[in-house]
Amino acid sequence: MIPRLARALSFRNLSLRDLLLLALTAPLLAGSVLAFLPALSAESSRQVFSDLLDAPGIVSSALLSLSAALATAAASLSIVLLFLAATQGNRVGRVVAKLTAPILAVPHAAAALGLALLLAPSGFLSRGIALIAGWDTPPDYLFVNHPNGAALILGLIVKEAPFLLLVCLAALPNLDAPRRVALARSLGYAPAKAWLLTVTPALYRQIRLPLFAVLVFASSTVDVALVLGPSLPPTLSVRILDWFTAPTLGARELAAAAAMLQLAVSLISLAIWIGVETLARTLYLYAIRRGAPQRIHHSHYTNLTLNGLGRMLLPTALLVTGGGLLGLGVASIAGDWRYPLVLPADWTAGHWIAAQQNLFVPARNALTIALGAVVAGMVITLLLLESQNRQKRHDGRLIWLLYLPLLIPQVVFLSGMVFMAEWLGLSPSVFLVACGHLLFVLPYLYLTLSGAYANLDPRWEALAATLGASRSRRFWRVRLPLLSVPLITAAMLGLVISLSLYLPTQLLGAGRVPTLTTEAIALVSAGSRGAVGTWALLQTALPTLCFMLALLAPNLFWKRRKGMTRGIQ
Amino acid sequence: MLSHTRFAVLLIGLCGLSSGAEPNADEWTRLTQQARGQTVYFQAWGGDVALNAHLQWVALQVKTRFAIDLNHIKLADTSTAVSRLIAEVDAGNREAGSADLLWINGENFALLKQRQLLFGPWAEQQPNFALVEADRFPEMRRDFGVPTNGLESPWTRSQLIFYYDSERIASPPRSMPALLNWAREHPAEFTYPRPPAFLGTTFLKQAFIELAILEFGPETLTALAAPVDEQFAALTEPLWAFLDALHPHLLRGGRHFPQTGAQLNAALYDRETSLAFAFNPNEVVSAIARGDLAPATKSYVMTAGTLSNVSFVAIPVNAPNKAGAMIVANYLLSPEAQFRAAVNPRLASQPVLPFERFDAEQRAALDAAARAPGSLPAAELARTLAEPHPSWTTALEREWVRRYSGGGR
Repeated sequence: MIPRLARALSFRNLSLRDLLLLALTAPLLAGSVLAFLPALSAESSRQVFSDLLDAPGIVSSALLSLSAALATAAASLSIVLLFLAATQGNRVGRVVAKLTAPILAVPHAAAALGLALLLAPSGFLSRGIALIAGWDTPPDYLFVNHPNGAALILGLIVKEAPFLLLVCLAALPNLDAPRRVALARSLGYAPAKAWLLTVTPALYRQIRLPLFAVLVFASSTVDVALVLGPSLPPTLSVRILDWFTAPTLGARELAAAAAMLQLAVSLISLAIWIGVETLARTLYLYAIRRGAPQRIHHSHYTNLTLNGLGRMLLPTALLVTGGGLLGLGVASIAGDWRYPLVLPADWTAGHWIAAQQNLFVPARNALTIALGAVVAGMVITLLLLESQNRQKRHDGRLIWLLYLPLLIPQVVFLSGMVFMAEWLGLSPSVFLVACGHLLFVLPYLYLTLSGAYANLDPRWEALAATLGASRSRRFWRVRLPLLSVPLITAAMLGLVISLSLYLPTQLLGAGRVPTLTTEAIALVSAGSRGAVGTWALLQTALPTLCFMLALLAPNLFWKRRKGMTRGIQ
Repeated sequence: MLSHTRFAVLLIGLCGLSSGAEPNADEWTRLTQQARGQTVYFQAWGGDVALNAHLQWVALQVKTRFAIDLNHIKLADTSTAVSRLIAEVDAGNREAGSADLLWINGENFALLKQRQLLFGPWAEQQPNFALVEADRFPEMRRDFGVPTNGLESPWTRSQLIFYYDSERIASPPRSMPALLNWAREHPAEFTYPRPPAFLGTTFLKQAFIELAILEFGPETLTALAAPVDEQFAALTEPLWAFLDALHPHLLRGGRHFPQTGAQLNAALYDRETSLAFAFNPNEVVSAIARGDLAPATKSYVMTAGTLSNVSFVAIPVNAPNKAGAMIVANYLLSPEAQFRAAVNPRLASQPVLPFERFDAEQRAALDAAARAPGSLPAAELARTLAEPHPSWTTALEREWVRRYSGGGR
């Protein structure tokens, strides 16, 4: 059925594919417009915007969101590039890359909670120092929730750097990095610098879109900001949510106006980034034109620094997340764990027993939604890819529409989508939430699969055709099996993304569709340390399981066909 | 599922009863039959694990007794449900709302009542409503001074109490001016949640009322019972002076405020602070039982008294399963459910039924529970302050946000 549909889409009517893309994007665009509507249709929209500008600390909120975006993207990118330059696919690099995959599966909120548990005045780090320094009460310092957003940015970096690393690792095989480096080294450059000068420009072009997604996400995150961000004033995204859920008169209009400001902030962060790109290009050209350094001595120290930073920073980021999870684990079974105890004085299973009574429905909902969104997303992605494939064209004028959910802040269009669903009479349900998740899963499925789809050697299908296989037979019997490994990887990635989504679940589900993620976040502010630890780990468990399956699946799936596990290109 | 016509008949039957009339047993039996097989979505704050567990137990009870499927939708903040209800009705959804039963209070109730978004009157027609003896306890019919008019049914009581780490302080401050002096001497050992978070607003109101009475005399209470007026600036003047002086001496120098009571407890437990407060007279008992507070924590009430109120459940006008919601509300009022919530040391809720309504065995168990470490003698809890009119709450929150949330300091 899929090939037939695909043929119909591609052969007869070129615009059908575009129509599909438009249909997928429609809720998003309509949601954005509807989100702005209360501000624009208010009796006096000028008044709404002047109220927004009068809101205490609104400029600080906007600047905080902007600086968090730029700092997160710049730091994450630097960390990843330095790491790749310093390791260049050596053993250390490969081991760290393997460890990165499961860290990617850790939901943002859980990672943020773990970080807070490490760095808060009563956290692990402080308890460790207390042991040596003999403190008996925690020091009164403000790092987590500091108005400068440092903790928020750190919490974002430890999640975004692993994401960018995996994106880079996926792009690198096509770039022939070793030969580029070899060439640069023959001109007298030290290895790390050689990598940075010759591989980065080509690599950067391939990771630009994910980087933009990082910028937009960091400028508008809600869950990380709730845990690590400041409260006086909070980030713009948190204020939008506050206003959106405040029952007071005029709050909805303010939320709508703030959503427009949020979109502007995200777009400005992109604009500034693109400006910096130009600057960086000039600097790069300058550095390259200057040629290899003549004074070997000087270059030696640069190389040492680059190597040191590269090897240190990314593993530190992974360690922080890992340590945070460990801390959450300890918290979840801690009995008496009063400051300054480094480890609990006694242990209890109480939090897990309490959680287990509440576990079934949220887990079932989370899995149903994730599976529904991924299966639907997979069908749509394959339709799009197969129709492109048959037309022998990969431009897809409207394909960028698919990426819009990554480039428009969630908090902007979701409020409008809630209103639209209400207006259409769609009551909150697992189905509605799954539809919402589909929008977020699709871009990642497409990103993951389009490369593999395009790179599959066309001769396999040509060979099948000479053996008389029909189009649909070739699709089902040749193409899909050959792509099984990327298909499984993409599906697992989709599941991981869906399982961690908070805002779409909470808003579209009206709280009536509890998932592990919404339950965990509901407890963040209100629950005890033990309950938070337990639910944060429960929230992490399913996506991690998916990632493990993704790593193991090729071997299980092709137990008797070892060649398939390497992925045929 | 209830058909629309049958439902209309039912509603006419119920609303036809005048408010305060004796419950009609036949009517209630019919309602119980209607409710069989309904799924009731109860939207209630979900931040207390013990309360969540209690509602699970309630769900089990109404399932076996009345064949009702009760789902507790755990809210991080009740205002979410309120704004959702407003949005639903604005969008024309008058029959298929997402909530059947809401736990609301104060300004949320006032707002929904004023917008006519609540179903009813129904609360006084419940057979168990008679047990609360509303004529003897008028607070069962008033939510922050606003008459409930049978639109909501009481289910638990609350009172603001303060508590402290007795290993670190010998005698805690028992008035707001004393608190300020104490904070100056003990910097960074106290904080309060950021209004408009519920508990933060409660602290704000407590400080406001105490300071206003000190400054302007007890007749101020009359002004507070009426909707907020042009006296606001003058009456709140002492409050802002107090907060301006207090903030630099708070935990984190007043540059970050927690969100919830759980965070106050965590700070007290970890010796960051030595003084905290909660809007539940048995908070210390239950928190010690849960392991969230140290056994040396002691509770007390301010000399001038503390804020107290009753929590209610209400039915949204667009609730699809009103019959089921009423049966659940009635069950929440039953001596059995009230006793269970009160006697559970991890929850230790304050019943809305008079003590005599429980049988001898239950009374003995409740007496024993009242002697648990951290509990307060009844005499101290008798010192209460009435909630001001809800419009004061909104005005106070707005002014606090205007003054402090921009991070000007």
